[in-house]
Amino acid sequence: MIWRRLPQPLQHEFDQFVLLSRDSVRSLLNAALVARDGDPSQFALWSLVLVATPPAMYAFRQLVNYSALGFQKAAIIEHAIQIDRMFFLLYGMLVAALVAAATWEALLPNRADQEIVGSLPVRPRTFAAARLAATICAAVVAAATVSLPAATFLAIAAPSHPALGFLPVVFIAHIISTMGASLFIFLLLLVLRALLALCFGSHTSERLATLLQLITISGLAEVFFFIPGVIPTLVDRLATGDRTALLIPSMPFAALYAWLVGVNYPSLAFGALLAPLLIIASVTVVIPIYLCPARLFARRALESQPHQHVGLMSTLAGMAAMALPSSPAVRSITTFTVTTLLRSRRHRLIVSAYLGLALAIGTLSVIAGGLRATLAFDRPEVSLLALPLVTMFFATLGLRAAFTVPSDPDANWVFRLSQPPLTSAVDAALLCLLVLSIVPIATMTALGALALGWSGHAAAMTAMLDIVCGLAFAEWTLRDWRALPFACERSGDVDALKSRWLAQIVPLLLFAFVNAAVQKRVLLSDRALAWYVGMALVAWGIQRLRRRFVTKNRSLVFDPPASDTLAKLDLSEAIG
Amino acid sequence: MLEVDEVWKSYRGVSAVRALTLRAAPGSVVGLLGPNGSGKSTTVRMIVGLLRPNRGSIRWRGTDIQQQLIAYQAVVGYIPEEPRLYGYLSASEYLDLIGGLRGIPRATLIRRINRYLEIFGLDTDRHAPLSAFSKGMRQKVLIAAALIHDPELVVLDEPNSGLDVAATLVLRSLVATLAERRKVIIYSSHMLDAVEKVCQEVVIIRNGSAIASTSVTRLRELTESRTLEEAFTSVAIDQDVSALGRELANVALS
Repeated sequence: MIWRRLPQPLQHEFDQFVLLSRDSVRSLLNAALVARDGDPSQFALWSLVLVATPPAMYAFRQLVNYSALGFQKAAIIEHAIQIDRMFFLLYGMLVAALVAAATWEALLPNRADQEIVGSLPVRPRTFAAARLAATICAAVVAAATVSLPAATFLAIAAPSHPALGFLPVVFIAHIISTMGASLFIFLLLLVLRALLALCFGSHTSERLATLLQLITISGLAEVFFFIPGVIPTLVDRLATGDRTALLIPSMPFAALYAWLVGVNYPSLAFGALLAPLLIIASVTVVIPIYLCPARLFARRALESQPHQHVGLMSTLAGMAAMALPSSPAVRSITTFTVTTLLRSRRHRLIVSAYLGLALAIGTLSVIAGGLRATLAFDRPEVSLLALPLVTMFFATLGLRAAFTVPSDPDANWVFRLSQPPLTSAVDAALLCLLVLSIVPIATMTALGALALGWSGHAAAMTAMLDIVCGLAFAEWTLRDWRALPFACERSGDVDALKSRWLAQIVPLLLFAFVNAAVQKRVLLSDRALAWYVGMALVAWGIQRLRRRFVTKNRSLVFDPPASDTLAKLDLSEAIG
Repeated sequence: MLEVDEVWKSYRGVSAVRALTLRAAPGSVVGLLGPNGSGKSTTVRMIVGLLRPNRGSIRWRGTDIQQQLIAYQAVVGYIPEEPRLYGYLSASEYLDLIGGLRGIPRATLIRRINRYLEIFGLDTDRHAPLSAFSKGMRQKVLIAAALIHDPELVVLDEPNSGLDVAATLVLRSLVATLAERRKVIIYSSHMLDAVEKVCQEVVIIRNGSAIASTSVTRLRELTESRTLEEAFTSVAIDQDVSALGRELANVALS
């Protein structure tokens, strides 16, 4: 081995680097793991399967399609394949961004890391280099998992037509371009992470992870819908040699891909050259930006005080719990729940994953309205009315899923000893759903409606309709709730939720889209409006009475039964 | 010889340690005593090189530790106050990591790990994750990690935390043996009887400053106390502890 020939101190530092890199991989997995009781290796495996499946399936479908294109003109095939290639590039980049968001917290050594490693004879730069290497390895593995199956299928399809390229070249070009694009975006986000931590401190930097995850998940969902819309335009710009298009991060890699497989677009070589330059530049920046301030990051991790401010939401939750007729137990549990959610990045990430889906489906609803020419912003239309309902649907389900993941199981003895009544726990959970999801979304709907020029009456009535139907929906989601938010020993209930995610499609259609159509009609008449509100309140009341009856003689569950995650294909863990 | 000279440490303008001085010679066990928040842990962290003093110096064998931090940390063994460990590692994996980072040859390391786990009765749990360990078991792993490289300077911050009676007695014997082998030992603890039994000298810290630095016997003489607890109470505690206890019991009745 070459490093065995290094001088003794350097050899020792290299050994430390290798050891810390191995440990850092586990730290990263641990940071990405939503449920603390989850198995990191299973989580990694299923996450990879989950992210690799859509492009593999898409490429397989195209394999069949391409084989039927033998008689088509080369120009048509070339254009079609460029669209597919752009899809793979965009998808790979979004997966890389998702990996960055999921491991965001562990990219820089934290206080616990410094407590353990800081007193050992290890240079901060060695530790930082090991963490960086592990992070990049994780991204490379994710990028390779996404690229390899698609590369194989596209290479197999290549002999169908000369315009599809030469088999080995297609395989290599696909791997180089998609992995390069993924790595570039990943390194870019690493640089952003380090810059934010340097300029604004680790707290601000860590808060951004939630936002990044929300954007990437909605982006991943949207990428499938970009194909008929945005991607052909990008390909056209590439084909005409539009150099300004190279400012879009995916374009230089699309140019590299096309150039490697031998496409003859004007100015393609320039774009193709830009792609490796971008990767070299990002590597050149990312290494010093992590290694040079390593000592500063280490010192900050040890000396900075944990941030405890939770902001407006916590105050509002406290006030709501005080204002509503509730018992001291409900008030305490509500405050505990809201505070935990606002302070726990893991739990916020779960909610943000759901909100990402809401954003994607909501945007799609608006785009669909636009395509059908039924979209008007100045009055209540179904596609607009569906937006808050979709958000409410996913936010409520996301919060419910987050509630089932324990925050600190060792600390739940407080609740085990005090044994608050089950009714109080469910009431508190409902109150939290109201404060964190339904009321804020309805308020934003009203404000948004006013901003779009709706009448004050229409805006207020829409918000009221959203609140009453949201209340009934929240009560429905808690129909089998038997625990205290964040205080279970094990996230057993979330497993059950995962296995039922397909069953949520019908409720989504009913609650968001059918309900939006009903709301549009209801807003036309005060009588219908009163009926709607009355019906929603009756639905809520009946469910509440049923819940009270069912939970009357039951106590809180702290140890949900363990579920067979393999049997249930524990996939949605990877979404978080 | 470890020399801590007039060190200061402040966090965001708030002084945690002020002009603290102490000396620890080979073979001596120096106890650090003080109420909560007095600056003991900050002092300990500066001694092991986790924190850098704002002012003053810490010297090991005459050289400022900041000038050759890596070489210094190679001879330090540290048991932290909070048993922070990577919960996803097993005891043997953790010790393997620490030993590897300290550059101990593989065969020696495996032999030592096996022996420590055997002595501490952890060999049956060697593959269990540390997150499943009790506080006492974690403390034993930390003790093993601190000693695995045969350190010259051993810094123990609340080492008895979570240990049972037998393990506490073992620890006491361990400290005495290390002192006989001319190691420098810093022992920070709230357990005054333990400090009295293992330390020859004590430094009492209050509000970040050393208010007493002398031998245990001399401190007892000066304060005319029979035990270290009495001496500590007279020097470091202002409050009427009995009255405070009564007041606490009355809060729930108000």
